[in-house]
Amino acid sequence: MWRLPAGVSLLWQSWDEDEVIVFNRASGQTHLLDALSAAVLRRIETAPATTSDLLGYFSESFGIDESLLNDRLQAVCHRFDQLGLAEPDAP
Amino acid sequence: MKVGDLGVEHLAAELAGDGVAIRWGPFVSRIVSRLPELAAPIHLLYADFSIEPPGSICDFHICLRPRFLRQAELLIGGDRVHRPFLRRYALTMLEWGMNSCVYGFSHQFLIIHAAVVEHQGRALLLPGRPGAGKSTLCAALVVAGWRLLSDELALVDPANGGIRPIARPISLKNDAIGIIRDLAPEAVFGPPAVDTHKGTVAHLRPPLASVQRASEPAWPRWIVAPRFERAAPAVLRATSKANAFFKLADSSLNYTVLGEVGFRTMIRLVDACDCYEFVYADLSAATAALVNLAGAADAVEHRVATFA
Repeated sequence: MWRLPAGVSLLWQSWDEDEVIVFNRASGQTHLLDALSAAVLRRIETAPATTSDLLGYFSESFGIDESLLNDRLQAVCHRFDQLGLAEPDAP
Repeated sequence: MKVGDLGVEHLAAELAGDGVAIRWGPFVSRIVSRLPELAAPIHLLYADFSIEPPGSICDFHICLRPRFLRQAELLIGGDRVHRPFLRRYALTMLEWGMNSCVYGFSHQFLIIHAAVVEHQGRALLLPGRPGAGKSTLCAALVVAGWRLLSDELALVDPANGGIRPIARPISLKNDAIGIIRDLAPEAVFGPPAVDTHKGTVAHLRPPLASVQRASEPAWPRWIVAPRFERAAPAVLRATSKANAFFKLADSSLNYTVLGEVGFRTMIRLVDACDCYEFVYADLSAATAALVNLAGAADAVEHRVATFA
């Protein structure tokens, strides 16, 4: 289950859907996200989600092959983890 | 009273004593100089700047004083902020010191490394790294009649998104000095400093009208990131606001210091502007392209007003 780390609060800005800017109040860092990454982070921000939740949620809207999408989601979520934007539940 | 109202000798005596409190935009600097040779260039370049009355509160205290041999040192707030330098570079070091006061202490503003000029109330920001040509473009537009806000530092007010002017001398380097002299033979320059680490540096006196309007903000309208490229035609290429945002954040001296305020102020700034990247070689063509950009905006707004 992926969720926002405790204390993380995000500010969003987008002038077009392919380039989304997000500011993390907790770290003071600003990030540029592509459309899929932004959508994933918004979804996690709304409510914690597993990778399969995300897969089901986005498989239609992004029109990407499911296995490719799964790989992308795994990569995006792990990148969010490195950036302090999301974290998995402790095993 | 203006700096130019004092004679050079009187100014030299004041500088050598308690110093002279000079207002520049939102700031007042008390400048003390024990270098008599600095009085004439200050008198020349800051002639139109106001002197605050004795006892005024000053934002910055700047002192230049001699050291052994032909060296001098610069102190800000009593601290030596730079290694000693040759006295002949004192004017350049004073200008550097005034800029360092802004980016070191003035976090009430979002500070961006950019030249800023204004046309019809709308500000054009020219962000860029050293060598991008922002000061040269800035000077060319200023001698063409645009208002100077700064050749170096854009101060964005988080309270209202306006850009606060700090119209001080424009620092020009090497070939740019002669090019601007040719464009504006009546322009006033301070004495050139030769063999600095940037080559020859000379300061162009800011126009009286810009100094007189130093308390009047301008409203951001264009962000144009220039890049000098030998023999390239002048080409303005629209860029995404997200790209402009990160370029400006990268050029900012305190974006990360300001945290959420910096983010919100930067968003507001970029949101208000059309954003471009600009490659140029020929200064006349570059100036014409930027004048046309402003002219096109004038025409659109005139049409809107006519049909409203």
